[in-house]
Amino acid sequence: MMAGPCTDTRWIEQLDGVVADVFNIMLRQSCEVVEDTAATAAEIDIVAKILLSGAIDAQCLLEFPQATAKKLTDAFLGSQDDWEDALIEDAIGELCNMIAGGWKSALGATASASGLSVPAISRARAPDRNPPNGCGLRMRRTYSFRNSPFTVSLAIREHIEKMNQPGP
Amino acid sequence: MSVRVLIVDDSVVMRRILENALRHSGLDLAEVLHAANGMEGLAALEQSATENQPLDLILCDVHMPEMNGLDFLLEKQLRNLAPGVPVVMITADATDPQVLDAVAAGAHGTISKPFTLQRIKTCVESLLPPVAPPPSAMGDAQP
Repeated sequence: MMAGPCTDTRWIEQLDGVVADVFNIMLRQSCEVVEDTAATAAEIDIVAKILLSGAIDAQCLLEFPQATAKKLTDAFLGSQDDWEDALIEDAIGELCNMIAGGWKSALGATASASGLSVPAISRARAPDRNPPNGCGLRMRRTYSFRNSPFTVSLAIREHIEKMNQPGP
Repeated sequence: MSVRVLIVDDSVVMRRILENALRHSGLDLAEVLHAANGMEGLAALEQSATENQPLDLILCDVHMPEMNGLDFLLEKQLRNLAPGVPVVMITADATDPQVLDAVAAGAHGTISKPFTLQRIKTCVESLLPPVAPPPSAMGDAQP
């Protein structure tokens, strides 16, 4: 089983494309890839997780600082307000849903026989980030939305990695 | 024409986004009912029937806790609630077999998330009767 971070640029570009599409289409705003720093990881307040299970197994994890989550909620709802935590968490869950769904669609027919879970939201300081057993291929990307960071992580089971490997 | 719409989605944020999109699509919205899952959606349909306040359009998410969109659609038909009212399924997972099942079960259309305002407008316009111009506009057009 392949362990550790993914270095296949195709997988990474696919994820970047899905994230960019969600922000461009839904919010008509850009979202840039930025460097993943220790400071970014330390600021995480809200974690959303969706599991993909069936023909393929994978996990999509979104990690948001409160400030970025607030900006995302403002953008979704088209106004600025002192939103309740539940509404902010709902917005992160919905974004996670669109990114996971978009990524699954990008996998094509291979993934069509798999189902997405509803988003699970956590505010714990040490949320369960552990992917399902056997998910050896991992990607973590940090993005900036309105100059505030958030991260998207994908963990994928080994057999998908083999199915989608480029030919010799 | 003033229309009544039911939005069934477990996400409050998505319900607000969809309602905003409907308002920006030029619809004359008489009322927008919100339901957080299929069970609440069925209750809203029953109440509309009891109060003789017919609906004109239903937007329904596919993935929801309690009762999902496909089961909502099947139960709605089983109980003969809101017959003939167009149902549009909303999904973030365009490859979900449940979406095809919903279309086979009578859904009138599907919208994939993320979506543009134009996508909502086009879909709604294809399902609802065209809006007649208001009398003042007609008068203005006369010499």
